[in-house]
Amino acid sequence: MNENDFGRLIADRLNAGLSGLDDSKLNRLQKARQAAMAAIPQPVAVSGLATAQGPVLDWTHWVRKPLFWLPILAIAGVVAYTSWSSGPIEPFDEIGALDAKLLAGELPVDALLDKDFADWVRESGE
Amino acid sequence: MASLLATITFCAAADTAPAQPQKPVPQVPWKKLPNSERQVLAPLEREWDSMPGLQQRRLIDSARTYPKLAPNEQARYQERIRGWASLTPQQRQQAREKYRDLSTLPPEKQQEIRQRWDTKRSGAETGPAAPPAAPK
Repeated sequence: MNENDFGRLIADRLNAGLSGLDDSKLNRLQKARQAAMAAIPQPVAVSGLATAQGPVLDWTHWVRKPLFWLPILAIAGVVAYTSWSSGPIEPFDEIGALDAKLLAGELPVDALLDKDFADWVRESGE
Repeated sequence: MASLLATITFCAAADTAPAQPQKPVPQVPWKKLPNSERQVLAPLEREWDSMPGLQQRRLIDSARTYPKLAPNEQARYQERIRGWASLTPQQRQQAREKYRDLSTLPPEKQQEIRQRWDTKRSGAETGPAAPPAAPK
C-alpha cells in the first residue's frame, strides 16, 4: 500500500464516522468550526516594509510618535545652519572701507602713527 | 594688578568702534573666502587663520572696497596690507583716528602737513644721525 492508498483509506474511515453522527453533534461541530474560522484575523493591507524574517515594519506607527521627528529636525537644523554659515559674508561696518582708503592713500601708515604728525594735525585743527 | 587688567581690556577693545557691542566675532577660515577676496588678501594667507575674527571682518570689508580703488591705490594697498595686519589693534585705531582728523582739515592744511611729513621723512633718510620715525 502506497501513501496515496493509505490516505484514501483514512478519508473513507473519517467520512464513514461522520455519517454515523447524529444531527445535534454535526450541528455543534459546524458551529465550532465557524467560531474557529471567525477567530482567524482577516489579512489587512499595511503600508510598510516586509523584512526577510516575515514581520512587517509599519513605519506609519513611528511617524505618529513626536520623538520620531526629533532627530530629523535636528539634522535639518544642522544642514540649514551649515548652508547659512557658508554663504556670503555680510559687510560688517564702515571701518573696513575706511581702512581700505587709509591703506590706499598717499600718506604712509607710518605718518599716521608718528607723534610729530599727530601734533601737526592737532595744531592745524585748533 | 588692576591697572594690568585695565590695560588688557583696553587693548582688546581698541579695535572696536565705540558704538559696537562687545561680542565675539566668529573667525572666517581662509578657504571659505571667495576667490576675489583671497586674491586681494593673498599677502595675509599664512597668518589669516590665526587672526581674531574682528580683524578678519575688517580686512574682508576693506578687500571689498579694493575693486573701487584706482590702480595706483590698489598697488599701495597691496604694499601696505601686510604691515597693517601686523599692527596692534591700538595702533590701527590710532591710525584711523589720525586719518579721520586729517580728512576733516581744509585741503590746503592737509597739503601743508603732507609737505612737512615729506620733509621730515627725507631728512630722516638723508640725515647722518636722524632717528627713525618711530611710531608713538
